[in-house]
Amino acid sequence: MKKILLIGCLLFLLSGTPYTELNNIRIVDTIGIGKTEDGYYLYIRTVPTNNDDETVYRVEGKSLGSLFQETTKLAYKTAYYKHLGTVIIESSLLEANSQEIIYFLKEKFTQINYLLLTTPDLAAFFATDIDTYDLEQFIKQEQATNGTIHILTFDQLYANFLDPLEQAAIPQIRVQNQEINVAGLQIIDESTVLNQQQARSHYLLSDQLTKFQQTITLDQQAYNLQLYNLGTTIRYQNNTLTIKIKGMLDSDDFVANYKKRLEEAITKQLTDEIIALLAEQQQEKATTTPIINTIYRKIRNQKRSIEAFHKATLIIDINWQWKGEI
Amino acid sequence: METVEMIKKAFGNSSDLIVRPFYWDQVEVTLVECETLTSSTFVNEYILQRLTRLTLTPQNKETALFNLLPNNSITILNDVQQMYDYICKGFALLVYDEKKAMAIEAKADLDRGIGQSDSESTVRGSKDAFNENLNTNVGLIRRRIRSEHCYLDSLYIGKQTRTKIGIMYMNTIVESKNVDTIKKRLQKINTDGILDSGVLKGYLEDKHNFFFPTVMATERPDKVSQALLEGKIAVIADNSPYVLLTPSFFVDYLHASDDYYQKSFNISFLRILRFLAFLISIFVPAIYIAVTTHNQDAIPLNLLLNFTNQRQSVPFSALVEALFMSISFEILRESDIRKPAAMGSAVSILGGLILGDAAVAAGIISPIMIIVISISAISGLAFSSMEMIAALRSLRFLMMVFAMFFGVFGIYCGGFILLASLSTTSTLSLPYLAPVSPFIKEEIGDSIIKTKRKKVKKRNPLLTKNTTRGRDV
Repeated sequence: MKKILLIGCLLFLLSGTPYTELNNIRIVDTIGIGKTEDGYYLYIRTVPTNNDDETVYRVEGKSLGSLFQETTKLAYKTAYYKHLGTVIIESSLLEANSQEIIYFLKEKFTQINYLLLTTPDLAAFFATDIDTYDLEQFIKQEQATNGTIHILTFDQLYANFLDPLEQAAIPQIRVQNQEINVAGLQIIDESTVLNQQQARSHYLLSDQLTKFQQTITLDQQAYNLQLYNLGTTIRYQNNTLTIKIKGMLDSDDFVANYKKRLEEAITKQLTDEIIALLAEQQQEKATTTPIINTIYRKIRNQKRSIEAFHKATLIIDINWQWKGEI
Repeated sequence: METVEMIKKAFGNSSDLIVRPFYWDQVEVTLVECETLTSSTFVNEYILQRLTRLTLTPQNKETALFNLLPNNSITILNDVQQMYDYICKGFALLVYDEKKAMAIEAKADLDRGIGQSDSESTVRGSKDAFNENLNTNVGLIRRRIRSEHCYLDSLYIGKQTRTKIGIMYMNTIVESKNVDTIKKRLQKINTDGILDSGVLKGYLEDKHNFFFPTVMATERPDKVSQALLEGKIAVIADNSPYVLLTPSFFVDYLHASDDYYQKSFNISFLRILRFLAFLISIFVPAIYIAVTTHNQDAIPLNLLLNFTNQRQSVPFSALVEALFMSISFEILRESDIRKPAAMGSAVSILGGLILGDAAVAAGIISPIMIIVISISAISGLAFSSMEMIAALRSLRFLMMVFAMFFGVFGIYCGGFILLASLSTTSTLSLPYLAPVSPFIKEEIGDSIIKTKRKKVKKRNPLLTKNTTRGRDV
């Protein structure tokens, strides 16, 4: 009896433990953080339930902390962030305040593997009803077809951010006419945005791209090709940087008589894209872009400095084999 | 006679006390009996008829009565207190002298016969069950254990009821100090009456047993016989169809009678299921409350949305909802036990179907809560022991409160308390968690996982020094 009384007293003493009933929470799916002239603004999109429609809230605050403090209650209910799916950061915010943002996200949303994206126009994005599921579907589709975007979670970004040899970059999207488009890859702390082709080359060189589609036109006839990246190697020797890409081709179209020409065309296109990207990096003497770091990471085992890359001659060797042919 | 007057006075001239004097020349014999306890047929045909044919003189009256009345339970009584006792036991008394009487067993058949077990029904195995007659119950056990080593010690407990209590054990197997402990505990009982063996439980249990039962009550003779062969002690109370078995360990409550009549693989599976039912019964409502009030991140988003949608119209907290549902279930179960069988389907339909459906429609409880509490309650009913079911119910409520205040952390704390309680509980000073903790290899093959019968060659050394099964002593 004494034990029961003791347990009862303990429970009453400690009954101040906060708890939230399910019907008193609004589950936040997506947030967007942007910068105003003297502070920040925050978009919040909640998940629709039977009684509540999907709702977007916009608040402003002087600091990131005060911004979230104001959104503790959303229309008399508690904002629940633990199922947050996507964080979209305004592009201009990443050019200067990235460190503050990333550390804040790390503290605020611990252990959450949410999707990270950036966009030049947050208002346009939140004017649509695109949620995390839509974004994931879009990214998967875009990854499989054009290879211009790659899913980036906060964990991956944070790992890159902490690595002194890495330069973190976030996929950038735009919303036009209620539809999402890939804008490219925004490099953190810089105003640089790689365009779609450059982003794809980056993913290809860093082996993040395994499969994509490409349409090649020969004799006014369009051929749809599936390209599989079987591995990329980068070597430095005699002041020459040799990039070897081994790939596999496949097509649903009748390509038996055009295989050689298709190989040449796709090789030329990819080579041009990679050379253009690397040449730009060499010209700008960049030392910390994701592309530089990808290459440097691959050649540093060969005890080469990053300067070697800037002086090097580029050779790109792409070898194709057709699916079903050994 | 003065003795007869004393008896009449002692019984307050009860209307069922029959006092009938018979006279010979110099001899007076008075028949005294309690007509509600004695068989009138037996008294008329075998006592009165023969008595009237006798010719008694002051010299031969005791010998004549003793020899010519046919009964194997005739006792000469010299003490009035004894006479009261025998009248209450259903004996007919022939008072033939001052302070001298002859008690002849003439008990009426007040038993309901040997029926089937209600609370421990089995598919395989014998169907007979104990009834309220101690002798019948002992007979049912002796019919299974035909051994001279099966001892029965008796004592009477209860100042007013003088209930006969039997202590039964296998003399060659049982640990004698356990028998002594039981006897001491029973002899210490000072109470007005023992109306059922359930009353004895509290006296037989060790101190500091907080949640779990340590004395098992069963109405199955085969289960008692099996327990006696393991070295346990059976306590049988007159007027109770439940025999107590002690010491009883935690794993014993996971066992069923027909576990010993089926393949060991199947039994192991069923015992694992029962253990899962034990955990589900205690923890499932608490886990639901914890994850819906404190740890929502532990639920996948789609499931969380589903839960949220179901709870939208419920105005109460998850704890209140769970308590409401649990208490409703307990009331329904209680009324199901107490009500006449003819009303069974009406209560079930009203309580189970209509009320449940209406409560959801009225927005008092959510459908998921019905599922959670139902799973938990049904799992709790996987045990035949009412005490274990009650323990599970208490723990379920306790865990729900812990979960409401502290979430999953509270369940961890509650689980810790549960484990501490289990490991500190003892039965006849033996560890309740045996043979798991302490690990007893001889008995582990019949704990949760059951090994083949022919491989279990040793008894539990905690219960006996004679650990080898099948050995002559």
